[in-house]
Formats: sequence, structure tokens, C-alpha cells
Amino acid sequence: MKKALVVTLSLLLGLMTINCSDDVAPSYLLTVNVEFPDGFTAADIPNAVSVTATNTATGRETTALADATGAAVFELVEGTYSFTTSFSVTSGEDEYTFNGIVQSYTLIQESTTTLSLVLADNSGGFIFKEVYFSGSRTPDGKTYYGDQFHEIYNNSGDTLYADGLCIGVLQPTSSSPSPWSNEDGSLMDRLALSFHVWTVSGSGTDHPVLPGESFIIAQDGIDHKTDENGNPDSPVNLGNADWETYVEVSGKDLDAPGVPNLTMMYTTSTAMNDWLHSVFGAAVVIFRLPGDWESYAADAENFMTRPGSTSSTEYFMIDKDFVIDAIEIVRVEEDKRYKRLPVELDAGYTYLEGGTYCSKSIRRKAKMVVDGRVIYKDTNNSSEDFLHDLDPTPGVNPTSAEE
Amino acid sequence: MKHYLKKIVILAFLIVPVFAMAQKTYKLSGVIENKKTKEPVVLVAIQILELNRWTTSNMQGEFNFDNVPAGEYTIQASCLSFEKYEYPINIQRDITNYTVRMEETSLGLDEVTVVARENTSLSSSSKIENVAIDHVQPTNLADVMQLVPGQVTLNPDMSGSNQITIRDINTTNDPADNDALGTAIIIDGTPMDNDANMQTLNTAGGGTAQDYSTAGQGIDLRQISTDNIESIEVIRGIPSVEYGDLTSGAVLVKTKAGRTPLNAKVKADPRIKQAAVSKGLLLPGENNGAVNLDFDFTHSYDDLRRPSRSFKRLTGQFGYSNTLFKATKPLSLNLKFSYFSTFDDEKNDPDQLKEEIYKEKEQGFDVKFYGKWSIQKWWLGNISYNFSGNFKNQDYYEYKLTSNNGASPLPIATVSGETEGVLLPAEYHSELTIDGNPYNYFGTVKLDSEWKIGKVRNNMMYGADWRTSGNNGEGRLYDPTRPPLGAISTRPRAFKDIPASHKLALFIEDEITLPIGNTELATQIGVRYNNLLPKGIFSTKAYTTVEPRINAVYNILKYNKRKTLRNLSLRFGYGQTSKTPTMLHLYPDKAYEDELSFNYYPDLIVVTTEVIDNTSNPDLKPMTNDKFEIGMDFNIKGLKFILTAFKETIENGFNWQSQYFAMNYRKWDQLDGEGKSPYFENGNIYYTENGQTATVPFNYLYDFHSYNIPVNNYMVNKKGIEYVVDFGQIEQIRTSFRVDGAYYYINRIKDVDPFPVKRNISYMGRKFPYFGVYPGNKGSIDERLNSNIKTTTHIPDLKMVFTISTQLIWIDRGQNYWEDENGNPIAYSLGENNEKLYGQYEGVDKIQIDPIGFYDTDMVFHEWQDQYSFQNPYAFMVDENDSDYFDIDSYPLLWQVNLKLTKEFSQNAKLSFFANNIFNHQPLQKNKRTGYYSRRNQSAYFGAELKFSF
Repeated sequence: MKKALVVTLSLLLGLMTINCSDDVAPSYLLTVNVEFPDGFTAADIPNAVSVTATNTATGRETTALADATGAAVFELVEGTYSFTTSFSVTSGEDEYTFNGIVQSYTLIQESTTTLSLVLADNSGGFIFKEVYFSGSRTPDGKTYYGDQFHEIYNNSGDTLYADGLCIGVLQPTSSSPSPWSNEDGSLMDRLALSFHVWTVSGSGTDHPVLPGESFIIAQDGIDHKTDENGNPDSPVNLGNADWETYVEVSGKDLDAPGVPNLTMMYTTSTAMNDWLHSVFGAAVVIFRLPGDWESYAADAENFMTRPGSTSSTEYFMIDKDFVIDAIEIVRVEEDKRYKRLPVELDAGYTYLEGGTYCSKSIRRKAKMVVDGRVIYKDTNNSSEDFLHDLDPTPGVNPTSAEE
Repeated sequence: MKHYLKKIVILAFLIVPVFAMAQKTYKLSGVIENKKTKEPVVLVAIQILELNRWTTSNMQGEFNFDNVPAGEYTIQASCLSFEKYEYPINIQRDITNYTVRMEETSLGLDEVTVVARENTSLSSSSKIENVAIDHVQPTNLADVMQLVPGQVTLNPDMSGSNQITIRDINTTNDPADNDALGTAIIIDGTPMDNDANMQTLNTAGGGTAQDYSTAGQGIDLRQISTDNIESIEVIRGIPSVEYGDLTSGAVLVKTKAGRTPLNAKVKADPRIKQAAVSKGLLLPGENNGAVNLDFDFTHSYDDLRRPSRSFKRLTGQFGYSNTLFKATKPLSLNLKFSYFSTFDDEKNDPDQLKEEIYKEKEQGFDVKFYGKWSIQKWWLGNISYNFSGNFKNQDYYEYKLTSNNGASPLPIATVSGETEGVLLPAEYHSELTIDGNPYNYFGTVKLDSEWKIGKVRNNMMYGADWRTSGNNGEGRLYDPTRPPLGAISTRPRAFKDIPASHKLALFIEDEITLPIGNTELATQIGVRYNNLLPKGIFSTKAYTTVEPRINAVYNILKYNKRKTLRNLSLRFGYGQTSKTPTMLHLYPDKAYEDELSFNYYPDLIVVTTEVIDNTSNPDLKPMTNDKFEIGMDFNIKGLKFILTAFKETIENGFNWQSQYFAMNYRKWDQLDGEGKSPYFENGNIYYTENGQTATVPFNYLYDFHSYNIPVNNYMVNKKGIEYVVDFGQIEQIRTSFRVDGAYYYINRIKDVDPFPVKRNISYMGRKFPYFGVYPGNKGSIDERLNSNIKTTTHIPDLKMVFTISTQLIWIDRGQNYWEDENGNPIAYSLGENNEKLYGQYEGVDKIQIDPIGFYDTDMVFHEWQDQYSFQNPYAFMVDENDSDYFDIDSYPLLWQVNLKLTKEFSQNAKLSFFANNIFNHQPLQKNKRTGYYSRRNQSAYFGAELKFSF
């Protein structure tokens, strides 16, 4: 009995000591070496590069400036961090945007890491202006997500054609670590698309989109506020959307005759009633295929099963070079934010603080407004480029710059 | 038909020797008394085992046998609340003063048995007597099974159905395992029947669903209270031919009959509360028999934190038993009425937004009339009879919130053709009632006779049984416009429209005992003939089976305490058994397959429906099991060994398989633009545009649809060794030791034949145009070796028994299995030049399995070509798996310690306590293939019960 008491007491004491030492978590020096892409050096940058460290557990941010050699030195408490930077440099007419991210870096001792910068390819063209994926709640408090939409905007100075433009969400559809990685842990150069993958039909010039104009892809092209089977509390009327993702193959979707349908190229499940952008947020891409979609879909090389999975489901694979615009939308919880898109496509991520079914959208910041025409910010870093938790405004542009 | 019957009767008599040996006979009579009080014990069943002679003691404790031929026999007497009496007797003259002294069962006796007693004669079985049952403290039959070698202890759990397993590794409760379905549970000679249980939602869509009752599976053991049980025998080996309609084995339950004190019991453990009362009394007067009554109420919670989900059970039994003509030709009569009612109930937390109700109520009423009449002729010893009926009411009700994203088109047609569909709202409450009234009748008459030719003794038994199972329920009731989830491809159905099943069986068996020197060879040889849906005795509307069974035991060395090897017997058995398909398998639901032909929201939806009236499988056969076993029992210096090796092959097990067909339907063009007011008339769709009426063009399309049909596509190969080693008692510490357990190797093949799989992907914007057919012979292999080390400490002075059982699982392995019929691998990895490397899984991420072919929408079969594996669309049909798919998942040694204690206080009170996994040893172990961690062993669990006798 006595012995047991002694053992218990010493165990308890042991536990207490462990606890105490937790309170004074050690901090370490960490050097982040900023590495420039080929053709650039630190000397090309007029201002010192500012690197932000974010503790993934607490969300606490620390900033440090890189010195002339590109080294930013932090003193940080033991933990897991992400390091990000994003800045633009103007050289004559040209503007260059650099992005860099290091995710899930575990700091347990004094160490050095490298932050590789990528040059954003923001040559203009089609961009996601707004994505409304959260869905809404009905007056009874039930969930409703048939009112989702994606708005795609011509941010360039030329008339563009929507014909052949494709849209899809990445696998995994909700924020979880991507299994589509190489042996060294880096993301693959091909992107796996899940659920339905869509394209705009047309000869190539059937669907012009003028500079500063946009088109809306609705999950269901009805006025969600007034339709009998809609949701009076939905924030949107999509009765005049440009395209609808009608899932004919399921036999369970309804077709709103007023809105033309996108063409489904592929789906991983014919049983799904609707094209769903996860209400937790997905990584979504618009892209163009190198040829016609039928021959692309007919080539077995363009499909893959998921690594580490026993499922025989084949996913539609695209090269990351096909991508025109991409947004990484992650879960609001700090520890559930996983990147599925390579840093060249989106160096950051955005999310909705309101969480699921909050009736809010994410929208790109207006960089400038020239003669009433908005030019949206596009640095391929959605942490920088997007505003979140806005009331959805399909087809409506802001009237002033939002920097 | 009479013709055949005659033949059988004649045949039966031919086997019987045509002459009876003239032999001198004597009288055996005496009295049965309580060893302690010397009072006479009344209504004791007393038998001369070898002769199949029996009678019952009268109100003075006297018994009488006339005309007993000279010989050496065994006298056996048994009575409720008394220890069994067994003694040899040599009758060479009239014996009129034989005294049987019986001891009242009590923990104060020198010897009690709290473990299962292994049968070492013909068939391998475990017998569990009242004292052992009490020590386990079960709430239902499933809890008792832990005493059987090869089983592991599971915490009592009444939150879901409890299914029995015999000689199996109890991993999942998959209905396709057919284990419980193939186990006969026979209570007082009446087999329980679950064949008419139809409580499912949709066999065409979901096969045998597990949510509603245990339709298509075995009996839900929760319905069987253990309080009125006197003994249980679990037959794992080859059962006697009188037991049929089974594959795995049989559980024979004998309920209490006779005088008992008023017993009251309360039991509690963290999830289960139980109260039970029982009493057995003699009716006043001379020879008026005994009446037994008992009631039991059990309330179980799934989880203390969720009191909203619970299970309640009420059982009651009334039994009357008597024996007439005790002194001459005794005739026993037993009449039992029993009632049970179970109630599964779940209400969602009222704080939650969506209100849902789920209730499942079953009640059953059982009446049995059975007994035996001792005729005492050389050609007819006894006639046994049993006539029983069972009537159940199964009532399932659910009120559920069903949500889809947005409204969807809903077909409601009940005949094939094109109809206007309705709109199913995004969210609605569905209401579903499944009303089943299954009923069963069972009748059997069995005759036995005993005779000797020279030294060879024959005990012959023959008889017939009849079973009827039907269902008078209203069936599935719901509003087709607000269908419950999963019911879209079905429609309401009344069970009373389904014909009842009848089964006839005839059986004959001879037990031949041949003395060899001073030992003997006993052989039980018999055959059982089954006829499902008989037209006549030997003609059938379904099928007949003939099942030969043989068991033999050769006692090589008779017990001799002075030798090192004190005794030795060898056992051998071979037998075939079969289980007929249930009503659910015989009469599956119609399938309703729908295609959306036109869709213009919100004005018009046109749906094409195809109804498959007959989804039954005309080739469906009974499931069979070929059992083979050998055994050996020996005693080395008091160490008793019982070893049994078995091999079982279960074939034609029941399963459900998709049946694909290409459905031809019209698809009207998509009509773009609002306000065109389309309408459907005379097979055309018209619309208005600019004041003009036009028809919508259409074309014909084919798409695959499928529904489930019952198939015999399941097979199990079982091998194993069961062992019991009894070390006997160390008297100084009053503790006995015993080790039992089993090694099981179970190769379960869930797809014996090639099976179809349709990929759920699209191709070129349409449904995938082919469905692949994959090689069969796919399943899993599981292995387990376990030991239960049981120490039983029994202190008669304290009237206490204390057992510690250490459960060890030495081997626990599992792996996937998929080979061609020659045992060659069918999976391959791709080499550097895309060559297929069969059986080589190293150094790759994925392995592939090619289909053997595929069907196109014209239902033409195309054989698989090697290059298809790399060409779309065919390549989509290649089955892919991780390269570790065939790796063995093996777990290290696992242990668990369980305690049980029973103590009697004076004569009136008895306290029992159990604790499972007392050290709460639940090691975290990683599944090699999935990488997931899980806890092995169940969490620590304990309970106690208190029993009073007045």
C-alpha cells in the first residue's frame, strides 16, 4: 500500500515537472534564406524583403526583414510555423510579383531553412473574380448549398472567349493533406481533379467576354431567393447566370431552362446530384486543355488513381501549365489549412471566417478602377489578392480600389 | 405418395432384426431421496441410459421400471436444483429397493463445474450447466458463448443485434457471413425460425440491410433471456440427423421445468439493468404436475452519455409439465407458453434542430407442446413428439429528415413506361413503417428403439419434421412521394402476399455400440433428407438434399488410474448439413429502375420506369457445409486432453449480387429558354414558342441499370484445432486449472464466381458505357490462435467460486485473397516497359487486376485483351490497389484478464460479480496497410448480480 502511494506520488510529481517545463517553452534562432528565381538577385529588389512567420497553433505572426544576402533571422518559440512573403517590384512598364511559402516547418532547435520565391505569372486574362461556396441556411436553420456560384472575369484589355475554358476542383476537395505528392513531399506537377469537370462548349468564338466583363457559373440557375424549391434566406438570385452546371448523368438534378448548361467532360461519380464546391472550401482552377476535350478524355495517360488508396476511381489529371487561374480555399481552422495547389499557381490561401453555410463569399480585391472598369489584383497569392466574408455580389464590381 | 411412405416403413423394419432375442427381464424400482434431508425427491427424471428407458419419480419419490433385460447399465437421474446422479448398475435379478441419493446444487458441494463441459463421446460439443451459466452472469444467450473453446470474451452489448458465431473469428457482423443464419438455436426441441423475417427496406437496392431487425440472418440473441435456462449445449461438430436446416452448428437450450424456490434476481452493469423472478411449483394433489413461471425485464443503454438510445426487453414464460403412467408406460407432457417483447428506441436530442424518431418493436408468442411416451417394445422404445407455433409481430417505425441539395425529380410509377414525375423537395420528413407478422409452425415425431444382436447394441432413431414459415405483415408502408432514403428504387410491398415456405425432413439414425475387448467402438450413422417446398414426400417445387452423417468414437484404453496414460479415445466424424434460403432470399423485392427522359424545371419532368417483377434467382440453392473432424481424448497422469481437428467447407453461401441490364429509354432534347410550357401527351412532349406549338425531338439511349439478386456466391474454407487441457485441482489451494482455445484458419471467399462491377464514373459526358466482369475467387484469409487460461478457486466452506481467466491471442492475422482457380496470382505490377509482372508487388505504388471481360450496352460480352489495360475507355475498368493489398496484417500477442466471482450467503442469497479486462489493457496497434491506429481489446467492464431464493 505504502509502496503504491510512493509510486503514485512520484508519478504525479513527474507529471507536474513535465507540465512546468512546458510553461517555459524554449525559443530558437531561425534563419530563413530567401532564394530568388533565376535571373534575379537580392540587389534587384529596392526594399528589404519582409518575411512573415505564422505559428500554426496560435496564429501569432512575426515579421523579419531579410538582409542584403537574403537572410531573415527570427527568434521563435518552439512549434510549427509557416513562412510567407509576397511583394511586387516595378521595373519600367513591367511589374513583377514574387511569392514564397514554406509550410509546416517544425522548429525544435536552432536551424536554417530556405524560402524559394516564384515569379507570379499575372499576364492577365480570365481570373476568378468571386467564389460563393459557403451555402446558406434556410429559415428553419437547415443547410442549403444549391446557390453556389463562380464568377470569372476578363481582367485583360482584350476580348477573350470563354469557349473551351474548363473548371474543376482539386482532389482532396476539402482541406486535408494532398496525397498527390512526389517522394520528397513536394506536390506533383499534375493536378488531380475530383467530382465533375466542366468545359464551355463552342467553336472558339461563340462566347466572347469583353474586357472588364464577367460570366457566372451557377450550380442551379434559378432565383434562389424566390424559387419554391429555393431558400428565401439565400443571398443570391442566379436566374440570370450565364452557365449552369446541370448534372444530367445523375438523373437527380433539375435543369433550369433559362440558363444554358456547361458540358461535363468527366466525373468521378455519376451518383452525385450536383457539382459541389465543398462548403469548407476547395482548391478550384480554370484551365484550357491543349486540344479538344474529347481526345484528352480518351487518353488513358490523363487519368490516375489516388496514391495510397485502395479505390480504383480514376481522377482527371491536368498539367499545372494548363491552369489560367487558381484559388486555394482552405478551412478556417488554422491547423486544417493544407495546400493542394503548387506555389506557382497560388502562393497563399483564403478562407471564410464565417465557416460553412454563412452566406458569404470571397472576392478579389479591386486593384484600381479606371473609367469605371475594375482591374483586380492578381499576384497569384490569394492571401494577398482576396477579401473574404463579403456579401455575394454576382455580376457586380466594386467602385473603388481596395488595397 | 403412400407408395413411398410404405417403402420407407418397410425399409425401416428391414434394418431392425426380425427376431427379438428371448431374454429374461427383471424389475427395477426404488426411491429417490435428498442426500442431506433424506426427504423424497419428486418428479425426478430417471433413465437407464443404454436402454432408452426412462420414467419420473412420483410424489413419494418412488420410481419403477418393469421388464428390464439383464445387463450392466448406467442409471441417470436429474432434477432441477439437484446435481445430476449417474451410477452403474448390474441387473441380474429383481431390484426393488434401489435408492438414489441426490445432492442439492450449491456452491457448498465439493465439486461444481463453472466451465463448459466438453463432450467426449460422439459429436464435439460443449455443455454448459446452470451453475456455469450463473457464474457467467449473462443477459442473453450470446454472453454464454464465451465458455466455448475458441471464443473470446466480449462485453455485453444490447445496443445492436447479437449474432452467434461458431468456429469463426468474430470480426464483423456482415450478413454475408451467413454464420448465424447457419446456426440452429433449438429451445426445448423447437428450432427458432428467423426465415420469415422480412424487415428490410429494399433487397433490390441494398440486399440484406442490417439496420432493421436481422432479416436474412440468424436469430437476434437479445430476444433469448437466460434466466429460465437449465442447460445449453453448443454442437460444433457433426450434429445428429434429427437436427437440420443448419450449417455451422446447433445450440440446444433446455428450459427449466420442475420445482424451484421463488427466485428473484437483480443485475446491473454500466449499460444493462435487469430484474427477473421465477418460480416452479408442484400442483397440489397426486400427480398433477409442475408449473413454472418466470419474468424478466432488461433495460440497456447504448451509452450513458446518450440516454436517448435504449433497448428494453420483457420476457415471460409459463410452463406446465407432467408425466402420466409413471409406473408402467410413462408419457410426459410439456406445455410451454412464452412471450417476449423487445423495444429499440432512439430519439434525437430534443435540442437538436432536426427531429427524428426511430423505433423497433418486436413481440413474439410461442406455444410448444412436447414430450415422450415410453412404449417399451423391442421395436419401439419411445415416441417423442413436439408441436409448436410461433407468432411474432415486428414493427419498425422511423420518422426521418431526408436532405438532398435542392429538389430532385422523383419517379413514382409502379408499372413500366413513361410517366410524369413529381418533384421531391430538398428536405422532407419521411415516414416509414415496416410491419411484419412472421409465423412458424414446427412439428416432429421421432421414434426410437433399442436392441442387441449378440454383443452389438443398436439404438435406432427415425422420424420426420415439418416446418412452415410465413409472414402476414402489411409490409413496408410509406408515402411514395416522400420516400425514405434508399427506397427510391423500390415501392411499398405487403409481406402477406408472399407465399409461406414449407419444409419437410425425414431422418434415420442408428447408434451401434460394438464391444472390443473391454473397450468399445460406438458409431452413430444416419441420414437426413430435406425437401424445401414439397409437392409430395419425394417431389419438390424447390429442391431436396440428402445429408449423410457419421460419428464414431473408439475407446482404446479404458480408464485406469494406475497407468501413465490413463485413458485414450479416438473420434472421427463426417457429415453434410444444409440451410435453406430464407424468405428474403426466395422472394426478393421487385426492382424499379428509372431514367430521367425529360427535364424542364419547374414545368415538366418525364421519367421512364422499368419494373423488374421477378428478381428471384431460380438457381438459388441451399447453403451446404461438409464437415470433417477427428479427435483424440486422453489422460496422462490426471492431465486431461481433449483435441479436435476439423475441416469445414461451406459452399453456396447466400450473398447478393448486382444484375446489370441495359435499359432502353427515350431521351428528349434539352429545351433551352424559359416560358415554353412543355407538356406530355400521347407519348410526345409539346411546347410553345412564339405562339406556335412544336414537339421536342428525342432519341433512344441505352444505359446500364442494376438490381440485386440473391446468389450462392459465397464460400468458406475453415480449418482448425480446438483443444482443452484440464490440469485438475490442486487440493491445497482448492484451485483447478484449465486451458482451452482454438486455432482457426478461415478462408472466406465472398465472390466465388466472376462478378460484375460498374464504374461510377462518366465517359465523354455520359455514364460509363461498359461494365467489367472481374475474376472470382476473391476474399480474405484470417487466422487466430487463442488460449484461455482458467483458474477456478472453489471453497465449499465459504460457498464461493472465483475464476480468473487470462485470454491470450497468440496469432491474429489477416490478409486479402484473390487468386485464379489454380492458385496463381491475378494481380500484376507494371514493369519499365509496361509489361505485366504478375505476383510482383515490390517497389511499385500500385498493383492492377484486369477484368476477364466486359459487357457493352447491347449486353454483348467482350473478352479482355491484354492491350485494353492501357487504352481508354477500357483502362478505367482495370482494378487498382495499393501494392500492399496482399500483405499480411499481423498483430502481436494480446492478453486480457477477466474475473468472475460467485458467493452464496446462507441458503437464500447469491452474489455474483464479473470484471472483464481488469487491467484495461487496450494496446494501440497500427494496421500496416491502412496506417490507422486502433485499440485492441474492449475496455474494462464490470457488473454484478444478486439473486435471492425464498
